[in-house]
Amino acid sequence: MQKEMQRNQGLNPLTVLYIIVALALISVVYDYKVSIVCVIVMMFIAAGFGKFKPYVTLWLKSILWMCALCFVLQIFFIPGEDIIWQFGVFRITREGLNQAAKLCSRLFGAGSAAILGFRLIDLGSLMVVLEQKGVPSTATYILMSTANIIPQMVKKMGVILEAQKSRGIEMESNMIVRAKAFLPSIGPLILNAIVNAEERAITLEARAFSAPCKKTSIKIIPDMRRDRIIRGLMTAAAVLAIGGRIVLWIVLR
Amino acid sequence: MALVEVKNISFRYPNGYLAVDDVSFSIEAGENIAIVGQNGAGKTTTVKMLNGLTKPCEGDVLIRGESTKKYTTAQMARKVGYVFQNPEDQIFNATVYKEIEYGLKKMKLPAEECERRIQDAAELAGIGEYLDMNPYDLPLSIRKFVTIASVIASDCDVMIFDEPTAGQDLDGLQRLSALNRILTGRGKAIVTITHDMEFVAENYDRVIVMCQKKVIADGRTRDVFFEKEIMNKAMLKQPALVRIADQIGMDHNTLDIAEVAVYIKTGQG
Repeated sequence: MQKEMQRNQGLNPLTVLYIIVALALISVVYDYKVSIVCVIVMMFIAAGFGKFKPYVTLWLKSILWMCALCFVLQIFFIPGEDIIWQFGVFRITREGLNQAAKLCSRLFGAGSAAILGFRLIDLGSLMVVLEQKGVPSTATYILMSTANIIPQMVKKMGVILEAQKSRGIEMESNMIVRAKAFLPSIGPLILNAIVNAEERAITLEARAFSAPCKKTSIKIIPDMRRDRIIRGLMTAAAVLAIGGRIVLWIVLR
Repeated sequence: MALVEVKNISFRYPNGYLAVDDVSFSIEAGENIAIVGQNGAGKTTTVKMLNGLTKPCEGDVLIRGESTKKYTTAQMARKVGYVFQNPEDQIFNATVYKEIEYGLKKMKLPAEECERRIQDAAELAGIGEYLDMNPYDLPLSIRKFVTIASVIASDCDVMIFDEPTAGQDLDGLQRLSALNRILTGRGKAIVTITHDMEFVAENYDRVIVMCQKKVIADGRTRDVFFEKEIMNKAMLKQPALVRIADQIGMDHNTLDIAEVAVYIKTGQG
């Protein structure tokens, strides 16, 4: 646990979550310039936590590409009167450009914050803190299992694909051939997920998950004064940002 | 020419982890081979290279003289069948019959031939009475035989079984032994990965021992199992009969329980 705290610069995982959520909110409610500033701040935070390289690597591979693709699709498909550029049926309008910039800046800020969260926060520790703060263990379990289920299913899918290839189902060809292989692959995946869910429920009950008593934890995560101050500041920043945006919207209207 | 020739194969994962290191062996038609070794020894990766699921980084695997590198795994499935450890990874059809039939349909066989193969495979695997049932209504041990029947029906030259004894009761083990005998009698090569040394001692003529990504022994089961040093190195427990024979100081290696009993009764062989 000490190691985990050291990894997070001695910060409680909930504090880290507050910082990330505040940055995400600020970047979502304002325009792309604020989003860019927020993402730069996120990169500084990642560097401060010693996670700059893995964060930027994942960011470049996911968010940047996603935003670029989304931007291109938006500018071509949102209609408008003020045409900036036209080639055949393709046209870029000022309205489309503005709308694309708005949507992509939100995706840019929120997406960058989400992957920063995955890089910095240990989900197990965060769930312990949330339970200490009074969040029901059922809710933390759902959050935890939802976060874990995707990598587990990806791994399982790999094994199922191997099993289906081994019985002669072609998967190494064109799109039509791959589409035909969809049912034999997805069927066992869903059935496995159902069976696993049932087994997990039984295992949880065997471990007194729903016992009507206060749960103990071997993890003790300190929540220091510094954490509470940072969380307060982050909450204030988020509230001010949202309030400011509402005021701006009213004034500009 | 051997049915399967494994020539100095090595496999390294993209992250640099070496899973198989310079492994060579050959398998003849009608041979019954067990591959044993502790977890992480490289057994599964090695057999995955037999049907092209994994292509060797170095060396080659030849099936009837043809390299697996030239074919996709689906194409190789006609020659090398693979029964996975977990039947849930494979089964998706609504009935046992359709499950066995699925692979045959892919091979575009005539209906009569499909029917003949399904009945034969179901009878061999002892699941004839379950053909109309949903595989998920059957116990795990029977579901394993459903996947085995699917491979038998495809009539491959080589059949790979990954941990077939896991979860099997005495009836299941006896059925597996009978299957091994019948299939090898038909000229099929059986390659089994298992941790069940008693089952290997009773059912396999040849054993390949893997340790730390390499083959450290390849020979007659009765000889390899008496090599205490090899068994210890591979972290394998010698079967009880071997330990008894060793303790009483038998002058020759045997996996025949009657022979050991006679030796004990008479004080000599």
